[in-house]
Amino acid sequence: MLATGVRQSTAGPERAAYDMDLTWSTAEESFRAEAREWLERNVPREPLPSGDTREGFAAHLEWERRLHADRWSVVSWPAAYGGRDATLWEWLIFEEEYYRAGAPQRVTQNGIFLLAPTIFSFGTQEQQDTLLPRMAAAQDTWCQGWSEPGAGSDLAGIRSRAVRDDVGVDGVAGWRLSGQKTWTTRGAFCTHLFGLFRSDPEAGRHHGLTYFLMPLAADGVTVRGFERLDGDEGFAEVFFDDVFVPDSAVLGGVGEGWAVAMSTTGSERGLSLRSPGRFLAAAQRLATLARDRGAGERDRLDVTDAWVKARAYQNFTLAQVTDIVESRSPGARSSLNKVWWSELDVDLHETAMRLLGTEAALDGPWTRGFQFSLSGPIYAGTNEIQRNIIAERVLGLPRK
Amino acid sequence: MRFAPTDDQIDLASALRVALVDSAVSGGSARVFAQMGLAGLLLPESVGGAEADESMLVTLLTEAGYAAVSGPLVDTVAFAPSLLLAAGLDEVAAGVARGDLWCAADLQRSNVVPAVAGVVLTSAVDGAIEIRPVEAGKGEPVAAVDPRAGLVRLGAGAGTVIGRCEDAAAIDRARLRASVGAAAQLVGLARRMLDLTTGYVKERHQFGVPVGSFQAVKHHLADVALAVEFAAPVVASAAAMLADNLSRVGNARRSEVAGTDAKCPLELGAGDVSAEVSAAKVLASEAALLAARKAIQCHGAIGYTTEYHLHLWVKQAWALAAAWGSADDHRRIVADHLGLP
Repeated sequence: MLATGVRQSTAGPERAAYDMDLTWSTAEESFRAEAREWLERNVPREPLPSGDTREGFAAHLEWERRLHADRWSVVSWPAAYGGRDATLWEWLIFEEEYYRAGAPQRVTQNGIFLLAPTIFSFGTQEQQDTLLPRMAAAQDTWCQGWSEPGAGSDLAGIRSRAVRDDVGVDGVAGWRLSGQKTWTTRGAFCTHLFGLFRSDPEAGRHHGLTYFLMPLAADGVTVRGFERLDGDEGFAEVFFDDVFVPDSAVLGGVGEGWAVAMSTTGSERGLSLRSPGRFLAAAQRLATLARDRGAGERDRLDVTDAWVKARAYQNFTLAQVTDIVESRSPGARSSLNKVWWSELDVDLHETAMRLLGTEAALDGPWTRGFQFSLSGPIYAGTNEIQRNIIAERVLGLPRK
Repeated sequence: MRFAPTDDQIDLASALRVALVDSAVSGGSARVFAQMGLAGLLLPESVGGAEADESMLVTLLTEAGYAAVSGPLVDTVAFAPSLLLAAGLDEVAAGVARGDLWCAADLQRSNVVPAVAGVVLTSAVDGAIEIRPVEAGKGEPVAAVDPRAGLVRLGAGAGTVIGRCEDAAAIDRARLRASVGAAAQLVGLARRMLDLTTGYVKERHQFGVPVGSFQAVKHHLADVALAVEFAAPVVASAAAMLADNLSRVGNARRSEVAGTDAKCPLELGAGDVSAEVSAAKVLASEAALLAARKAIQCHGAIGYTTEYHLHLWVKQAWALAAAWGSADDHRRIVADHLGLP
């Protein structure tokens, strides 16, 4: 007998209020079956050209619109905005099926996964009603205007300015934006930008920032695309020359941009941008590559490690979603997600490069994936910054 | 789906935290462990056990690791139960449940076992497990890296076989329980090494500031936190799969989806419970080894002495990471499940 005074493990009617349950419900299984069936019928047989090129981006928008037509583009959103009111669990299931099916990359992801959660939290009813349906339908495509030439990891060092314009345009008051953003993913192809600007130059670094939403077609905006490491025009720099935006372009409060933006970085680092399905599917493809090419003992162990780490990410995520569902906020723990998935992705692709041998010098899906994986430890806050956050805000080490 | 500890696990963990942690340095925790009846956690009530499941085993051994409880815990609590019962040794099992009897697994037949063991389990050439009583405390002392291991070398052929377990399912279950149990203990060891080190680097000042404010130290400890935080959920899922007889996480229970083969995309050819247990041991072994290395580094010279108690966790971690299959041994098991060449 246990002498600890605790109740023993029980079964039947006296089950503990909080049990552990690693199974999916029949409703969730039906959701999975429906998603799988739709993807099997609709995923293009041939891979689309890279979504980080102009023609590829257009091809991907066609795909996005097909997803939207059958309400698969934003499953977790309310039906009124084009979603299915899916639970977080169902969203995870959809993501697993999406990557399992080898479906195209989501060129709308920065809007859907980074901006939309912020609009749901901070947007006015009008902003939600006007922006979200068009985003879901890939009519508006959003890019992120945060980094600047002088403000990367040190995001609070933003210098692009927003100056009050009380006269405004056509009787509508607003703001005049000036400055430069860079590393803007797919900025040359997107229609809209969400960005941070310094609206109060007197306030401290983290204060006096405001979060703005705007069309890239606005007067005074200049976009110049440039090549990423893999040669695609996936990056842009965006110049603002006295660009007028109305008050309705402010997301959250004036001067509250930092807090509003940080809610988005939680999404970016955490699970919404990188669901475990993506890495399990990649580990599966790596195992197939190893079977096709043959693998020595070291390769065998490294391929296995990719699967083990993807599996760990999946289980970590299941625990994290449970916490969210039961109102325990992940908080700074989203930095754990970001370091884990980004470094497992690099490791996985390095193993693939070794399996390819001299073929690793040729352009192809694996070599493209390898180059892209190297951006993971940099974007969304470098892993050096993430490790500082883990040490300071998860472990409680002193900042100074 | 609900992936979080049960009420029972939370209650057991908090009771153990109080009962075990403070006794670690005195060396009395093994006695506490026995007195609390924890050794019979998995044994049925008919022999005085608590009839708990593998998830509770993980809670128990994680806390035991956190407290650096010494002694053949995995052997006794995780490995022996199904074998003793299958061999019909209910009296021996009752002794384990009372806390009178420790078991030692000696599958490689090295004849080196902890001196406290009163029962030794070995592999026979036909794959069966043979069970022998030995006189606790007898045998030639063997110097170990961990001074608390208390190892002795038994004379060849010590003890007469009093039972055999030939039931492959019972042996399989015993091995899986031992691997997941060792993984749980390693997670507990790693967590405590991380906590000890985090506490230390906040207090220790150099250059007029806490050494924990230096980025190099922060990154060492962030790496340990990552390793531990991603090992623990796999240990938990492996145990829950064993407890619930699930072959895969995410499978619907058969009763709910009658007649369908409810597959989810986690079926990577390696989703079964044995791969999950091996993944758990890979991650837990490496987390504990990393924690040990970084803990010694971040403590500086004080971590390199036996005057400070860190070495108790470090040395247990070294031994347990190699026991019940090393990380690479378990990678090879997963590799076979993945169908790798």
